[in-house]
Formats: sequence, C-alpha cells, structure tokens
Amino acid sequence: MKKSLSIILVVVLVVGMGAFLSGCGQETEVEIVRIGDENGDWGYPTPHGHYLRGPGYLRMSFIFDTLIWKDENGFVSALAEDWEYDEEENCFIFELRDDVRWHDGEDFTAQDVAFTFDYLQKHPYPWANLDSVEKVELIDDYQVKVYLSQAHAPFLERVAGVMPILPEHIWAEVEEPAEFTGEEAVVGTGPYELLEYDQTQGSYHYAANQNYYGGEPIAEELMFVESSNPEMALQRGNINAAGVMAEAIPELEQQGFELITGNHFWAAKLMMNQHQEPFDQRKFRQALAYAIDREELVERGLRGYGIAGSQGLIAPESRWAAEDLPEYAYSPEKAKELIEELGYTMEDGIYTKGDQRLEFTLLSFEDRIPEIIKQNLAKVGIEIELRVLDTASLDARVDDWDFDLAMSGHGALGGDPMVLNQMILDDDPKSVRFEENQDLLDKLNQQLRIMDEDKRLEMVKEIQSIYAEEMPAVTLYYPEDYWAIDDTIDWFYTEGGVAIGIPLPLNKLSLIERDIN
Amino acid sequence: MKAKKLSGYIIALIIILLLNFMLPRLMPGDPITVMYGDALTELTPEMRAALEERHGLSQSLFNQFLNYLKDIGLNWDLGYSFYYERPVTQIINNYLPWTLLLVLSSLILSTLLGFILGVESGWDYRQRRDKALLIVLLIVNGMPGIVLGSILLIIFAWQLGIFPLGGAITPHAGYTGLAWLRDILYHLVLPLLTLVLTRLPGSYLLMRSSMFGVVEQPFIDLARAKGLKKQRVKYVHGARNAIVPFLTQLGIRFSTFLGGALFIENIFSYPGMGELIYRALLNRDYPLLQGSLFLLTLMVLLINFLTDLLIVKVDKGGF
Amino acid sequence: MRRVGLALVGIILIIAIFAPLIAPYTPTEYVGQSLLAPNSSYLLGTNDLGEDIFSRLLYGARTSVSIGFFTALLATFFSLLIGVTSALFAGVYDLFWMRLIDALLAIPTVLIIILIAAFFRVSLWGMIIILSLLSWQQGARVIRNQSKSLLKSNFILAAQGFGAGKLHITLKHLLSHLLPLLSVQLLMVFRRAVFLEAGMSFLGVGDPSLVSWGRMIRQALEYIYLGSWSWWLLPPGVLLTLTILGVVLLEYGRDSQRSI
Repeated sequence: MKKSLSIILVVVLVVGMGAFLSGCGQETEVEIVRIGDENGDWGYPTPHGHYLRGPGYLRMSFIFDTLIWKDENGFVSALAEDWEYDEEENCFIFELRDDVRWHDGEDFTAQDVAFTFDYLQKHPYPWANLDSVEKVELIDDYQVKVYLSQAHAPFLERVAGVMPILPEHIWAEVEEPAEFTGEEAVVGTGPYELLEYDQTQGSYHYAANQNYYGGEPIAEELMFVESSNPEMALQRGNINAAGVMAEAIPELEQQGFELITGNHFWAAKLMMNQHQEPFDQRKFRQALAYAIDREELVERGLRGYGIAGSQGLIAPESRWAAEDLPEYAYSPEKAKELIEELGYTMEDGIYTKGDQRLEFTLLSFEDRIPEIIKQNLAKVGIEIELRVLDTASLDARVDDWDFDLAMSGHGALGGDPMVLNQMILDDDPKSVRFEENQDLLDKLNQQLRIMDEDKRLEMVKEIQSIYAEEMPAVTLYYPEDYWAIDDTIDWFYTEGGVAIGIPLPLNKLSLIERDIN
Repeated sequence: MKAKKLSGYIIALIIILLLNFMLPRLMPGDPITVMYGDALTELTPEMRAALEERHGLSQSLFNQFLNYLKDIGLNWDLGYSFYYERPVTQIINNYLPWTLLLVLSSLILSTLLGFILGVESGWDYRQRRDKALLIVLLIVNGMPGIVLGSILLIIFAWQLGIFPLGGAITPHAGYTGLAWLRDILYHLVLPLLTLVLTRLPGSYLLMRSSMFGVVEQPFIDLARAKGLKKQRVKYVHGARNAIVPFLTQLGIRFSTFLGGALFIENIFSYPGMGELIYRALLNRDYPLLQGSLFLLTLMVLLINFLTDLLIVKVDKGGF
Repeated sequence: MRRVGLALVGIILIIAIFAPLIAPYTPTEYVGQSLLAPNSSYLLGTNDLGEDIFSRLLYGARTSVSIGFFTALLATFFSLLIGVTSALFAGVYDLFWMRLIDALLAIPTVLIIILIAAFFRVSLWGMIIILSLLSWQQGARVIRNQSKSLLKSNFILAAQGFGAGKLHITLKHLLSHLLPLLSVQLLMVFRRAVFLEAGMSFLGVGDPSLVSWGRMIRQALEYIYLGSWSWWLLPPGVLLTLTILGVVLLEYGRDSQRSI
C-alpha cells in the first residue's frame, strides 16, 4: 500500500498533464502559408529594425515596396510604373503609380519618394548606399527625377530596386528609426501587413493587403516560424515551405513536396596572403589553382551538391558571367612545372628554395574541404597545416593579413557586378584587396560608370578574365541550396537574387496572382 | 559568520564583474565585422566608424569598463545588443521567463519526487525496493541531459509525434486563457521531463541519506508506540531531518538546474536564456553575452545568499 | 556495485587506450560515401563527412578519458596544494583562499566554463586547463579542513617531536591520511569533466576538430530525419552514459552512505 504512494503520484501527474494536453496541436486554418526558418528571428521588419542579413531584408520587403523590383526574369515595375535614364542630365526619371495607398489609407505620392531619399541620407540604411545620389527633384505628384553625382551603373539594382519607400506622414517625426516600433512603424505599401512579430519565438505573422496595387495576394495570412528541424516540420504539416538539407530530398519528394534549387550566388574562396612570399608571385597563385581539384571538392566535400568554381568569381549562370575564361583544369603536373619555374626544387617531398620550404597554415571555419585541399597540395610538394577557427577570428586574421592561406566565402554573386569591386578592392576580410594590376583597377572603376548594359557587360567580362589571370584567390565552388515546397504557393527564384542578390526563393511576387506577359 | 559569508559574496560579485568585462574583449575578431560582414551589404568606412562610436568600441578599455560599471550600477543598463539593436535588458526580459518557468517547475517537481522516493528508499534501507530504486536512479544519474533529451525528442516528438518539435508556444495561434496555458504546458513537457529526470537522483540521494539518521533514532519507536501512523512518521520526520541539507543545497541546485537548462533548451529550441546565450556567442554579441551571464550569475548569487540567511533562521528556529 | 563500476570504467579505458589498434579507420579520414547505413566495412555506417562512425566512437573515448583524467589530476593537485598550504600556513593566507573559495562556490561554474571555452575556441589542453581551474575549490576546502584536524591530532605532533625533517614528515603523514579523500576527489572531478566536455562539444564550443561524443550527438541530431540516429546518436550516448555511470558506481562503492 504505502510503497505505491510514489507510483500513484507519478501516475496522477502524468494523467493530469495528459488530460490537460489532449486536443493540443490541431490546425484548422487553410488559408495560412507558413514558412519555416532555422533561425527564426531576423529583427523587426522595418528598414532599420531588421538584422542586416538577407532573411531580415526579406521579412521587411513583404511590407515595404521599392521603386522597382525583380522577378524570375529581371526588373519589373513596383511603385514606379516606368523609369528611364537621361544621359544628358545624368538622372533617372521615375513615373510613379497613382493608385497606391499606404496601409493606413493615405495616398502614396512622389513626396514620399523624395522624403525617403532624404531620410535615408540622414539615417543610413546599409542595404541601399545613397552616395551616388546628388539630389532628388519632384516634377509633379507622380514623377521624380533622381540626379546622380556621377554616372553610376549599379543604381537600378543597388538603389532603386532595394530602397524601401517610407511614408512621409509617419517617418518625418522619427529620430531613432532603429527603435521605432508599433502599428505606425510597419505602414507600407506592400502586399502584406504585419499583424505580429514575436522576437522570442522567432516568428512573424502577416495579413494580406487586399488593396495591393499589384494584385490580390494569394494567401490570406503569411507566417514565418522558427523550426529547428524543417524537414520534420514539413512532413508534419507544420510549415508549407523551408530550406532543407540535400540528403532529405528523396524522402521529401516521395512525400509529395516539390524541391526547388535556384542559384549559385555564394562562393567559397581560397584566400592567399599576397603580401607574403611566395603568394606575391602570380605564377605561384596560378600553380595553386592547377593543384586543387575543384571537381573533387564538389564530389567529396559537398557530396555533389554544388558546382566547381569559375575563376572569374561571378557565378556561371549569371548574365554577367564571362564564358571563355582560363579553366585551370586540375593538373598537378602543370602546377609542379610552374613551381619549378619559380626556382623551387623538391626535397623530401616538399618544394624548397634556399631556406624557404613550401609549408603553410590554412585557416578555415570547417575541416572537410580544407582536408581535401591539403591532400591535393601534398601531391605537388606543398605541406599544409590545418587550423579551424570560428568565422569571426578567421575574418579578423585575414583582415590583418595575419595568415598564409584561408578559406572564406561570400554571397551576392548573382546581382550587379559591382560585387566585383567590393570583393576585389574593398577593405573587407572577404575581399582579396588586390591592387597590383593597374589595368584591373581602372576597368573596375570604369564599369561602374558605363550606363549602357551591353558595353558594361563587355567591360565586366574583361575584368573577369584579368581576375582569372591574376588569381588573387582561387574560387573553389558554389554550393547548392534546396527548398522543399508544398502545392500552396509557387515560390520562385529571382533573377540574380532578391534585391541586391538574396539567394532565397522568398520573393513577395510569388504570393501575387500575376498576368504573365 | 554572517560577515564572512557576505565578504564571499562580494568577492564573487567582483570576480564576475571583471571576468564578464574582460573575456569578450580578449577575443580575436571585432564585433562590427562579425555582425555586418556578410558581404551582402555595403558598409562605408563612415558607417563603420559611426557603429563603433555608437557601441562605444572606440573608447579606451578603461573607459569602457567605467561605463560598464556605471551603466549596471546606476541605470541597471546592461548595454545595447549589437545584433538585436535593442537594450540587453529588454531582450533578456523576453527570454528569462521561459528559462525560469523551466528551471523552477523542474526544481519543484524533481525535489518533490526526489523527496518521496528518497523517503521510501531510506525507510527500507538496504532492502530490495531500496536497492532497485537506487540502481535505477544511479543509471539515470549517469545519463547526461543531452543524451536523455535527444532520445526523448526522437521518440516522443519525432517518432510518435505526441509532442512538438520545439519552441515554447504555437506561434500566432491566438490562444487565450486555458487554451493558452495548455499550449505552454504542451511545449514544456519534454524539456521539463528531461530536466526533472536528470536532476532527480540528486535530491533522491540527498533525501535517502538523511533518512538513515531518522530510521535509527529512538523517537521513531516512540512515535510508533504513540500510535502515529507509519506514513506520517516517515514523512514528518523525514522532512524535518532533510530541511537543512535541502536548503544548504538549494543555491547549488538552482545553479545546476540552470546549467542543465542551457543544454536542454538547445535540444528543444526552447527560447530561454540558453538559446539566447548560444546565439549571442555565435554572433559575438558582447553586451548581450555580458548581460545574460551577469544576470544569471547574480540570480544564483542572490539565491545562495537568501538560502544562507534562511538556514540561519531555520537553525535558530530549533528544527 | 563497485565491481560493475570498475568493469565499466575498465572497458572505457581499454577502448580509449587501444582505440588506434581497434579502430578500422582514422577518425578524421574520408573513407567513403557519406551517410551510409551500417554494413560490414563500416560497422556503424558513415557520417555526413564520410567518416567512419565506429572509429570516431572509439576515438571519442580517448577525448573523454584524457580530458577526465588530466582534469582530475590537475584539479586535485590544485586542491591538495591550496588545501594543505592553507592548513599549514593559516592566517591571512588561509583566509584569502577560503574567501576566494566561498566566492567561486557561489558562482555557477558551468556558465563560466562554457563562456571561457566558447571565447577561446580552446584545444584539448585548453579545455583541460579551464576545467581544472574551475574544479578545485570544493576539494581544496575539504582537504584544508581535514588537514587542519589532522595537524591538531597527536601523531603529527609526535612526529614533530623527533625533530627530524619537520616539514617532510608532516607532509608525508598528511598525504597518507588524505589519500582516501583524494581518490574520491579524483573520481568526482573526472565525472564532471567528462560530462562538461560532452556538453560543450554539443553546444559547439571548444575545438571543432576534436573527435568527441558530445559533438557526435549534436551532428547526429541534425540528421534525425534520415533515421540514422540509432547507429549515430545512440552509441555515443550510451558510451557517455556508461562512462559516467561507471565512475558514479565507483564513487558510490567507496562509501555507500555518501550522497552523490
């Protein structure tokens, strides 16, 4: 009798809890679209409130519209119905839509556009760098002229297509945009209005804007929810779409999910310290490119889910990619030849010149790929010691030129080729900061000023071949991402990536009935 | 006695303050790069300088420390989170309740359960039931939270699908009242169970050994002779004997529960301090890390201090 | 119970020591296709990196045992050093350490350890040092109290009476009487260190290239969806549990009435 007291207590507890819980976890709504995200929280969905990574921008973009936007084929109109470049005056003229209302019912006018330019000059928004803008002129209520300080080819993709337009009647009074929250802060013109943002649970809840000028949103409600195991959440029906691991594809396909994969706008690079022997020699850098089997990196390192790096850096499917670049096909013989031409001789399996032996430390944030590189390089008489660091420490050491070799990577490779300037010249640990070649420097500066797209493309291609020739870093591979989606919404990948190049299929236009023309 | 204890707490506070401040700044990597460095954005040198200024990183280390002390002491301001772009206290306010819910409810449950099992086991010291209980609980004691939690997650959330895969509530479900409470409990069950089970052996063993003293005392026979029911004798005397050791351990137990909760929250993506600290580490969010650690440590210190006071009282009370 | 504990710890020790001989592959070597199910050449299949899970399991024992062993040794050494000197020198010196220990005991060490380890991305030895630096306090106090009462008792005074190498003899006597205490201390720190290492590797703090059970569990958790957990997550979980259980049983066997 007494001995079972503890058992009874346990049973009571369990049963009590069970009774309390029965009936939990049932869903009845059908008009809700839920998107799973492993991180959950990306900040408050206003321009200054969201965290600076792509998913943060996306969550804001459902509420706020830009002048122009992109779909799977390129630019489409958004708040601006039409736009053109006036070469003589060096300005862009935007014809705005006259049927747009803010979520609070106020009319949208050119005044708001002019205000936004002004406001974001005062309160910089890292996603849209307005340095190129000289002044903004109102022609009438639905026409603005944006004068540039000098010709700036990336303007459409990096400013007009990215900068969210804010309502003047609300933001004019706001001094601390990052801390501005509440119902007013999320008044935009976009297809969705924010119902609730829950930072702790990492979730966003939107309702459709029935008056959206671009067409009626398909889903009544839209949610972003945190799911640490998106594959399971999909299978359980908790979410309708999420990025998933490639290994789960067969299983998910069997369950009726569509698997989409978009683009290769993120690249892994092998950075070399050109301030240090022997990486200051172009021949040696080229030798490394020959010595590393990039196909093997993809096959073994990425389990086939990716493509081998193109030495022009730009992803091969981008419209900006050069076609006939030097390939540097895997050839240890060629690599050895080049190293020997630099005066090195093999000693105990390692190339040596005087007291200099080809022994280097390779810094990386993971060890699978570097391990293969190490094996590759061992075959051409270069010995590698691996050091795995977290990305912060790694970036700091690369930033200080305190490294021999380092694995690094960055995105935005599908959008405007301005990324070449950023990744070759900018003072940023992801950038190669390569200034040896004057011709390359000149061409990089020029390409930003060529407003004619065809002419610019020619220049961009030349830049890529010089880059491939100089080899300031070996572009190793572009990994592939997968999204599993059910049949509620036809999510698509945006040409060049959403806005400045976010490589996710979460374009707000996926949620709008569009007449395909 | 009291002054001695108090000085210990003051030293602890100083150590924490210093460690808290120095650790993040000893790290390689600067927070601006970590936070803004993902190449998708264009960060001009001016914007960078403005950010550094805003986060106070351009000042000397000593000034940074003075500011740190001033902010904590005067304004209860634990700094401004780089990543969340909000005051640290505000963020912690959102996460701390979930951790407290998890820690306190499991502390109560496991103490209660441990008390009952310990009394039963200790009463029958060295008999079959005692041995069986002891062995089972020793095995549980060997099982780290990460193992037990993972297994519970796989079986109950994944294989059987009875419980949610993670989180603390169903997002935007619009539940109110009882439904809301039920939703919270529904999400709490697995992390709670994990924490209760992994911490159960501690209180069980403590209770069991304090029962030994009870069983051997003559007043037990006396009480029985008086005709008191055995159950009552057991539990009343058990409780009386155990209260001081239990109180002494309360502070330490609270801190081990807290430590355990950090791992368990991670397994069940439970949005408490463990998740927050984990993300702050990934993002190198110095102020958030400092603030979270400081607050939790302060809580543990405070509870240690309060239990010390309580023990003095209880001792005087002549239990 | 003690025998069971001894057997468990013995098995883990053997695995740890002879891992290179038993393991069919190097734990960090790419041996074949990734995410294979168990088969004749890979007893527990392969992980996402195409490494042999069985070999990693065996090497994981090495990490756990060496961290446990060296941390126990180092921390107990600190405890002994500080405990005995505090008892011997008394006065301000003793007061200093006792106050520091009070302070450290009030601080939640798990938090601090996670934090320090995360900040410095420590190697195996770094981990051992951090764990040792935060695991000596309790032992030092117990040893100090024990030493004090030992010093007061007669036999040490008697030894001093002979005047021969005063300090030497004192220490010798002390040590021989502290031995049982030290062994309990060693076991306790060992268990805690193994536990904490697994936890930290699980959270992804510490050296990412370390082959560790905690890290295996974390990696396996990300692939639960593929159903590989039964050969990927369970084995390290079971071995970790058995290691800690073995030590618990040894501790318990020493003194069946001690609370754990």
